[in-house]
Amino acid sequence: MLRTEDELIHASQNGDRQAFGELYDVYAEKLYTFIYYKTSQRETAEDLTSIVFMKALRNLKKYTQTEQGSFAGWLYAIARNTVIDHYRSIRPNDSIDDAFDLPSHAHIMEDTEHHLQLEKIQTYLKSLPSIKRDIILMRVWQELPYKTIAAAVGKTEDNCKMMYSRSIKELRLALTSILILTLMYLPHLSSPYGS
Amino acid sequence: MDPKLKDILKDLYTLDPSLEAQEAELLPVLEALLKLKPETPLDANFTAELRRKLLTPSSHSSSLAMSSPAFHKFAFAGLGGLITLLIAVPVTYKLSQSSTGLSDFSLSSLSGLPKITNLGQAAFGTLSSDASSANGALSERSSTTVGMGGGGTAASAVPAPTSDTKLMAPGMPIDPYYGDVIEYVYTYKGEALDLSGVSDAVYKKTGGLNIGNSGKDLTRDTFGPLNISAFKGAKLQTFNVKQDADNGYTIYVDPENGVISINGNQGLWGYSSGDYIPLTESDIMSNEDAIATTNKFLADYDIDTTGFGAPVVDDRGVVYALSQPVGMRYIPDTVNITYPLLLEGQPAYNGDGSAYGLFAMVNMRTKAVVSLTINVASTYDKSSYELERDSAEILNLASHGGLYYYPMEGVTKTVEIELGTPEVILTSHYTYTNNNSELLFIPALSFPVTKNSDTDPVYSDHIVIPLVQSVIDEARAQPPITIYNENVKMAE
Repeated sequence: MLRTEDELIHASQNGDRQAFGELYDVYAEKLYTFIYYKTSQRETAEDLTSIVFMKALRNLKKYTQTEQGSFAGWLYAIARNTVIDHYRSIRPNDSIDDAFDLPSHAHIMEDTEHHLQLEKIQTYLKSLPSIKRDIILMRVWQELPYKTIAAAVGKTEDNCKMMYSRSIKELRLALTSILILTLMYLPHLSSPYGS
Repeated sequence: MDPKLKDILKDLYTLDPSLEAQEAELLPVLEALLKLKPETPLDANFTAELRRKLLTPSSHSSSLAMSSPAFHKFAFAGLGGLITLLIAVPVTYKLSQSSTGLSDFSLSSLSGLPKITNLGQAAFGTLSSDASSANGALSERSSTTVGMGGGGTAASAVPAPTSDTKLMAPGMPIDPYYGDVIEYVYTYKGEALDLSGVSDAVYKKTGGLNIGNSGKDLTRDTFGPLNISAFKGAKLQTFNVKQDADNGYTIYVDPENGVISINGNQGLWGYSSGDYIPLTESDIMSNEDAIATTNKFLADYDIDTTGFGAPVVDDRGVVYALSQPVGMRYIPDTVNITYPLLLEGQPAYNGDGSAYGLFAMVNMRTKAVVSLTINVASTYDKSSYELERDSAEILNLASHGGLYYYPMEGVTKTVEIELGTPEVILTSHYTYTNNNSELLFIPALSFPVTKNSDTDPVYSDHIVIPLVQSVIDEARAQPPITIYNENVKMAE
């Protein structure tokens, strides 16, 4: 019952679906959340989450930690690529990796209640390349370790750390003026310096 | 300062000490980032259904419960008679032992008949899976309504089948990064279809589990310094109780969603971390023994199954393991048994053809039930909907391997699959309104896979085709999604 992740992976690779179910229990919400961040649409996130786990199941026997890095990172890599596939399939002539790359008027299908929130996030993150954006989302919102992030984006851990710190620096510089406007419309941010 | 902010800053300073001098400017940026983090409305029904589908291995299922001729035959006339029956879904689970600390709390009041209210025609709207298209604007939906079936496409793109032609269709999403791109060829080998007698009733789950006054009693209690009754109008939502024994159970009850989940404690699994020894062939239980074990458990704990159909054994994990070369076999610890929920006599299934209702897992190591999940609701609404009754069109959809499918690019291999005579079932269907999902059961045909591939089996052992016209129309309105994309690599 209390198998380690490596044991669960090994068992899953040998056909134990219950073991895969346990891995699913660990990662379903995390991956769904990550995909939701990148699509901002619940149904699309559910659809793509389904595809991610089916891809994982199909390719499980080919997964090795040596080649693909951590299991979590491998799953996140599949999730990233699935989101990119999605946007490239529906917008084949545009260079779009996720919902952040969409022009704001293209959000007709998004959940209305999150619309304004997304626009603010877009304002912050739109200027960054998607890989840097993903590193920020995975680190700040999902609190993933650098090892996982590195496997997810196909970079080294050191490279990810450098990109993360530089991205935050860039954000700080780029958003100083925007932030003032944002704070005006977010009353719960009573102090720009936090509590 | 928020501890999370502190952690982020500490992390950044470790990476780049020069940032520490910019803390005053960094703080509002990070604080805003955290506060703007979106809420993620993960739907419990979605995760549960996806899990169930993922845990259904490739093919080779054994369905003892389907031995009933009524389920084997394509006998719509007989089902018409069954529909007049009102079937109870009583669930009685008594926590009469005092070791839980809630000895006064009895779930015996969980018993009860599901009340089915007939609302007439098309009372649930279009049955679109998207609230935004509830008024018929199907094209406004996201272009990737994939679910487990795949992206939709225009049915007219595929020629109607003839009785002796093979039906060419793309299969489920195949590994986009490795191996062959497979196209499945579905050939219908069953009896001639006659859809004229199929009931057009659609059922919507409207109420959860009726726990009577038990919940109110609990909310009148005082727990230490907390007097729950001080919170006016508070209602019991979910609760856990656990037997304090290795071989006991933990019970989770979610009355609002109508879910009871009973899970075995550590001792019932037969090993602890670090001493796991895989099962051998001699440990495998027969399906009869697995059912007998489950029935005994249900009887021992007063769990009434009269609202559920005959048990269906899912031992595909075992069958799959035995199909592997000796030395490569990994025999799962558990075998699954499902008793499908009956709604006015019709069995309810999930979209992949697996049964919906009372789901048990028997551990073959300890010969014990280690998990039991009961989906039960006290009330359903019922409404009639126009059905697709053109058998050629239904076979055309079945030829795709489902209502939704994935067009594949660069096909490198073709695999032939055969389908047998379908069974009339109710299949789950979700609609979304105001960020809430609603569970419906709609008429469908479940085609059994009678001949699968040994090397590249299709994912499910049944192909389920919903019969409601508006659901089919919505699927037709979906543009296809292309899964295979060789331009995107796993790692850079």
